[in-house]
Amino acid sequence: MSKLLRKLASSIAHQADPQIHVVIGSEFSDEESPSLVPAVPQTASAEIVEPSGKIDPVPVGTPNTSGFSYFMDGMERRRLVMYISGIPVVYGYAAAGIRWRGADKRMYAHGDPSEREALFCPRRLLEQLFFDLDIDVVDIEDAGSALEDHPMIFLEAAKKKVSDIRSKLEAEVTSRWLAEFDGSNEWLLVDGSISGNYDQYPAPNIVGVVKSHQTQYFPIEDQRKIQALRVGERSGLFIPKGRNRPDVYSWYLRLWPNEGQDLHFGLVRVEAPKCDRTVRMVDEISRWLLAERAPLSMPDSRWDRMLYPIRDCEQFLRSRAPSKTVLDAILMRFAAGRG
Amino acid sequence: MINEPHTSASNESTFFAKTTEITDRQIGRVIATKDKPNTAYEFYFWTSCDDASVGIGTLVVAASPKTRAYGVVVEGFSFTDLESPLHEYIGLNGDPRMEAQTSRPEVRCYKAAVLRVEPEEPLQPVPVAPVYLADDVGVAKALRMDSFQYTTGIPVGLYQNGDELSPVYIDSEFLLGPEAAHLNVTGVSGLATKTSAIEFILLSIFEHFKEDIAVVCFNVKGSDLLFLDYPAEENMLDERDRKMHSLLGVPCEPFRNVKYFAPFKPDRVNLNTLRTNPELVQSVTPLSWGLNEVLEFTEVVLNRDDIDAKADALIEFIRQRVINQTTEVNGQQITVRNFQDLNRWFDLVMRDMEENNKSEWKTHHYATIRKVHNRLSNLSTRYKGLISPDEFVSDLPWGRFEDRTVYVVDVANLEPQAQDLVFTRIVSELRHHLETGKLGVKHVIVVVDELNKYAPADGPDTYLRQTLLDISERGRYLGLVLFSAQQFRSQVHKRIVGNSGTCIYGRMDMDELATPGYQVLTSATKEKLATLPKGQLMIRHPHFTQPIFVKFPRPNIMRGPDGIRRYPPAEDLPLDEAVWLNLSRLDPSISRNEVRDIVAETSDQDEIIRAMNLTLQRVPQDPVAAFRSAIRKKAGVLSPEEKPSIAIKDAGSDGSDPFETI
Ligand SMILES: Nc1ncnc2c1ncn2[C@@H]1O[C@H](COP(=O)(O)OP(=O)(O)O)[C@@H](O)[C@H]1O
Ligand SMILES: [Mg+2]
Repeated sequence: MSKLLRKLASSIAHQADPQIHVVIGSEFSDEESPSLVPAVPQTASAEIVEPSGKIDPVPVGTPNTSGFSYFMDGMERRRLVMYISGIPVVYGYAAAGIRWRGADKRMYAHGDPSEREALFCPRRLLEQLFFDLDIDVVDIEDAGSALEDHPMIFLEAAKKKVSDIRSKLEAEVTSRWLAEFDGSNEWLLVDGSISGNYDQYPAPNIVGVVKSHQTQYFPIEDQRKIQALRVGERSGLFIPKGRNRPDVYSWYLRLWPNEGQDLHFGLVRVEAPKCDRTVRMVDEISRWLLAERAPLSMPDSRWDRMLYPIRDCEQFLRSRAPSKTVLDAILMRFAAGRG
Repeated sequence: MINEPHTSASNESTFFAKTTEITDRQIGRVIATKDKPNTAYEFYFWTSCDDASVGIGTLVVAASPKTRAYGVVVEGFSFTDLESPLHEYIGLNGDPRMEAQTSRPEVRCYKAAVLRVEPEEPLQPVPVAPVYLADDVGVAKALRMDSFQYTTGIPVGLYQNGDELSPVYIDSEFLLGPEAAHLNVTGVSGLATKTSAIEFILLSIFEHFKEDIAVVCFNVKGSDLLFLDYPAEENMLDERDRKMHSLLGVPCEPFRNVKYFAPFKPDRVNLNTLRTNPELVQSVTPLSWGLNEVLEFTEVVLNRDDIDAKADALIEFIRQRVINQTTEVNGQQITVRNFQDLNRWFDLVMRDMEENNKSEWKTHHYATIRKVHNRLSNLSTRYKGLISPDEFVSDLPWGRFEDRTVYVVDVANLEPQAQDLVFTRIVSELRHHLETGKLGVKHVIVVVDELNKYAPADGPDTYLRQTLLDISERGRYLGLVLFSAQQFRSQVHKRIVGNSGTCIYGRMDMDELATPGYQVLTSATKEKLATLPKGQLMIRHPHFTQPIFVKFPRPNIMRGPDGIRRYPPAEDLPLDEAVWLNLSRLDPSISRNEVRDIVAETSDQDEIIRAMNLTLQRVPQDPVAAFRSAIRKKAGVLSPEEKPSIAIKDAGSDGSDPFETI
């Protein structure tokens, strides 16, 4: 249930402002790809740090037991809920949480996930209306840079803001975990890139798995070698460039054979903190990831790259998020109350 | 933020903290999905995977702030997020020995059939709510026992309630009448504990039923019911059995008052039972019926094809105008009191017709008379041991039945037709005496094992089946109740089991469970019945809207085979020994040789037995003298001019002296 929307509904339901236009049943979109992933294909550069100086395949050895026991994922949902005087107002929900795998191999929640729901709109245009209401409103315009007055532009900006909030929640949750477990033998596996902002921790036990290959870091000859990786092989270690966050070490790893499939089938890009330990552990971490292939995350369509505990995390977060039906119901009542 | 469910859960727990019957034993939560929606009659809930307190048959309460739905678990499922076995196969590389890094979440869901909802109106689907194990009070409510437990409740077993055992009562008004009646027990021989269950319930009835009641048990198999008054062998019962007895308020003892009845073997001196060990045989009363007792039931003992309308008319004439009367035939006075007399009467009649060249006698045709004579005179030969040719009658104590007493009638070794006669006559007499309020007790339970043999679903329509049907349809108004048992309920006459208000099921055969009568049970319940351990039963009772599983203790009663081992049956005695032994019951000092001599002097065995039986009934001062003088000089069919020396009336029950004409 969304408390926020219900509060909004009851506070402005009886305002005699004819300019509120409720939108019922619009799409409640789920952002499936992890944050920090570019939305459009692009190229970037990389610096190879593999001692051989090459990207060429390296066998990682036979997988046995995974060293990960904590798993982090985030999610976001957003939806256009109304226009006020022609200005779109988006409802957004974001969350990030950690699941723990016990000695019994079962998955448990590690504390409550961090969540945030808010309305997203250009504050300067709707200041008066939400003023005084005890509601979380996020301004989609950055200070001093007004957007053009176009509903679609506002919607795009809202989308970006919801994603930012999700990234922020993920970073918070990760930091909390690091604060709790730094110096222990526990390892955290996160969905997507790791931010790399771990200044106070020289060698944090954190690894990210990137499933999308929107950014290509190498020229075509090297890229071919990556595409030709076989199961159990990784690429050479490199530092992805062109990111506006601290450097991390990265490598490609083939989880499932791609015969008869897309070239990228079963291919992930792994990120780990930029430190010597990563260089020493790159094969071991790769073996851990290979071990995580069972159980299979079917029926997820991205099962070739989606690791089961990450999917578990995702399911967990989804089960707590407000559903489309609930939002529909609130909005319907809201609309009826006004009509 | 998104935490309404938590808030409402805590509201619910505060609500329940205030009530008595719901403890902190929450074990699950109701779920409702499109595929498995909740209705007013069933609901689904999930539990933790490690919860060992829930299983098929568990009683639970789904309790929302406004309603309580009591249910019994009838089906369980468990599943994981695995959609296809292929996914597992791929994930583990086709190697079942490989261990996955993560266990898939496994959820246990149960389906519960609703037993009762509070408030009862309006009838609505069970709400989504926390689910608790029912405690004692909850069990009583769920089974609607709160309305009769303290008045007409008969404890029959214990419901396993988490670690506790809660007594389960059934309502005597629905077990022993008048609202409903009868008990039927089904299950595999030797595993279903049918006989033991009936014994235990009888013990409980004796302890808890408020009115007077007696039991007539027909022992139809070996030594099953022949040691009801002896405790079980040591070590048979364990602490658990004793504890269950005490929880159910039933003394852990055998029956206190048991009386045994058995017919004679064809030799008419040795009893046709396995309870013949010298230590026990004194407690067995012979079952021996004469002409009076049998003539009422000629339909049972004569082949039906034999009794046409003409024969029927003659039999009726004999009943009305010949038996127990002194009549004149062909100028000769004759009093007919027994089969021997009747034979003589037939002789006189036929001689009259032959001498006077009549083709009819009092409108009865010669051929009919011959036929009826032939059939009736055959009876005492055919049922030798049960039907006595002479005036000796020994029977159940009609009119003097005692409260809390078990009358065991051993028919195990009788041939089927004789069993028919015994059942039919005893039940008719019970019925007749109850109707007129003259039995001595107000309620009688008739116990019949192997019901599928005596009241089969198909097969010829026998008097016995009619009799059993009659009890089951009308008995409850009279206080005549049938407790029956059989291996296969599907093989018993439908209306008989159908009229049984309370039904118990022990370990069942899978084939039997596949018959249409069990369609109402879920497959999990069937599965449970097919693997039910000894001492556990499923009960259906009018107050329970769903079958309930209970445990009951081994009764502290010697099992038949143990009884036989401890008290081996005696060898059959020769005639003189049997006579001596019987007479020495009257006076232990009588001379064996003297009795042996009298027996040796008398050539007619029937006459010896007749004299012995008369002596036993008379209980004279000097048994040997009485025995000697009771022997008539010549036995068999007496000559017409010879008057019967003894005319015994109703086995002396009217106080007349059987020796009056001596
Ligand atoms: N409550 C009980 N718990 C455990 N075993 C029992 C119980 N009651 C009876 N038994 C044992 O089960 C066996 C079969 O019992 P019985 O009553 O003769 O079954 P059935 O009449 O169905 O053939 C006997 O050996 C008996 O001792
Ligand atoms: Mg039995």
